[in-house]
Amino acid sequence: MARQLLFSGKGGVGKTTLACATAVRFAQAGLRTLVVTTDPASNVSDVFEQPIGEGPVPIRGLNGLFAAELDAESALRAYKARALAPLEGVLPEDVLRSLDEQMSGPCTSEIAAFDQFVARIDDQGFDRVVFDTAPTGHTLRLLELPGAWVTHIDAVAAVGGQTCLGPADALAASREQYERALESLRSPRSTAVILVTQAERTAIEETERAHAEMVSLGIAPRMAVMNGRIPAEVADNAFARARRAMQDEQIAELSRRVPIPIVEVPLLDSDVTGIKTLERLGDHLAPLLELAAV
Amino acid sequence: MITLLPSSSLPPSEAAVADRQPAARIRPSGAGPRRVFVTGKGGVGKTTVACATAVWAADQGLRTLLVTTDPAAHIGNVLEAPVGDGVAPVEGVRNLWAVRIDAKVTTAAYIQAVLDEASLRMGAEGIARLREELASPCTEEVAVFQRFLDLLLADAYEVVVFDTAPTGHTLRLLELPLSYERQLQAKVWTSEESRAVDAAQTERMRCAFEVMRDGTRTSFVLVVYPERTPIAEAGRAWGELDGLGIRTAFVVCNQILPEEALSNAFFRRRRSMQLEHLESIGATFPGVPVLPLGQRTGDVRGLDALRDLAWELYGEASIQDRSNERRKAGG
Repeated sequence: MARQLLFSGKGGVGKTTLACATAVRFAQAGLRTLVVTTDPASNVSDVFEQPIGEGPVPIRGLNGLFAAELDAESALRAYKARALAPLEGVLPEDVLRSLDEQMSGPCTSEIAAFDQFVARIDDQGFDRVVFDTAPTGHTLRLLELPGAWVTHIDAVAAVGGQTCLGPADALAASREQYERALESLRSPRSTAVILVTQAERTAIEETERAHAEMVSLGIAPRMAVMNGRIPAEVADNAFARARRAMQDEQIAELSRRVPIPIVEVPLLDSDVTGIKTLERLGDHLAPLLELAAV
Repeated sequence: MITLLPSSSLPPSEAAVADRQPAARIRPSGAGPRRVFVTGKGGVGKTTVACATAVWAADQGLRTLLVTTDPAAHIGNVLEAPVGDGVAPVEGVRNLWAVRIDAKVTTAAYIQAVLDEASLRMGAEGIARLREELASPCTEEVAVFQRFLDLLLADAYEVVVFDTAPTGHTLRLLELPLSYERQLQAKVWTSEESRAVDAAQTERMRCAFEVMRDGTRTSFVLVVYPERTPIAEAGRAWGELDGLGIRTAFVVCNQILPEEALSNAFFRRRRSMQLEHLESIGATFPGVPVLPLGQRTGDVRGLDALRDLAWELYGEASIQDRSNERRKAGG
């Protein structure tokens, strides 16, 4: 029985809506639940139709449901500042500019966000915690390397420029915190990772890749969710029937590529906003809820 | 079909109208080849739009090169013709050549070159970290774009279409005076040879930037689909390029439900939602034309399907005709 759920998948597949829908069900079952997002555009405030902020803030209309936004942009700024400050005057100006740019990409943003996220794993203040994102294998492997935790400035300078990680003592979390977090991610009693995808070629290829990568790190994703499934009852024209048949094939293809159950979640006729709409999605999420013994 | 254009209180002049037509942004404008970069997140339809664009340009009589990074099996299915690692004509389409750049092989070679150089001054632990850092998707973008540079700067074709584009981050990295490899040597950077290599690289990038910033020579085409997250992500990508002086020529909004799908209230409501998102794209990309593209029943395969798609994007109806269509449709 997992206390925390992580939703993994490429941008736009529906991680945030599914995370929120699952959290609504947990809260309705009487579990004190927190939704955590690191999305810089934070869809969670749109989905719940209220401002969120660093939080945790209570969600209006449902007792026991809370949300928190980890501010990824300020985490990145702080991370870069910590990384580069010790190198001012040690490395030439143009190298520093190069380092700053090296650390301005999506990978470093992810490391900075994960650094904050590590603090939230196994948060005992809640019965269930749902994350609408998951670290990539790349992030986890980088942080696993011994060099990630070196704090000696000379060692850093000798290694010279870095890409995603940056000079090491920028990490705010300790090695111990990181190892506990990784252990939690690997333990089915603590965490369930769910891969979210859609019936589209590159999404499925990405899902297969993410699955293999996580397995190689000792994290076993438990389920895949195929989002955006055309309901049979609306496939009353040739176009919709053809697309639904194509989705059938994509689901079969996915099941050949990943050895985990696939849950289908239907396409809705509107954007998902508000608790009522989230409840409609929740009707289809029973297998996910079972992972967390609900 | 609705084409959303930036709002204006004055009717556009004829020259401005002709300039904004997407077809005009694919044809060369007289100052050498036209480069077209098709950009967007995975799964939006970049390869399909790039292939359709290349076939269309070739059909206009323009000597066209399609540069793809898609896996060989898939691009072969889309064009229903084989595409290889060397530039070769595409069967069935006059004036069209294609070349496939294997992103994995290109990246592996790039990584090996960096590691070989680094092993001269790093121990095993440093190399292990470097190897992992180089495993990021950012490395692939840098490596692939380095391969693109030769094709970007060449002038053997009238139109060159790339089915992927560098991000703002990749371009800024490459614009900096020190390439990745060189800044590892920062403390011992004294050799004439390394300075010469770096100067050549810097010059190449400067030329490339000049071409990319010139809207008469390069068009960046951004592909999205009508949902909040992809639009927000595309908006950020556009902002990054804009910050480098690189404009987006037009946005293609893919996956729009066609009329034939609207047989029930469910799909009519979805279409309504899509149209709202289409409108919001106008706000996210001020001043950039937005073209809707209809959803297909499956992967686009074959020249007929590609030409059908190209007609939807570049069919020669003028902007005025499209405005009339929109008024008639009550939009």
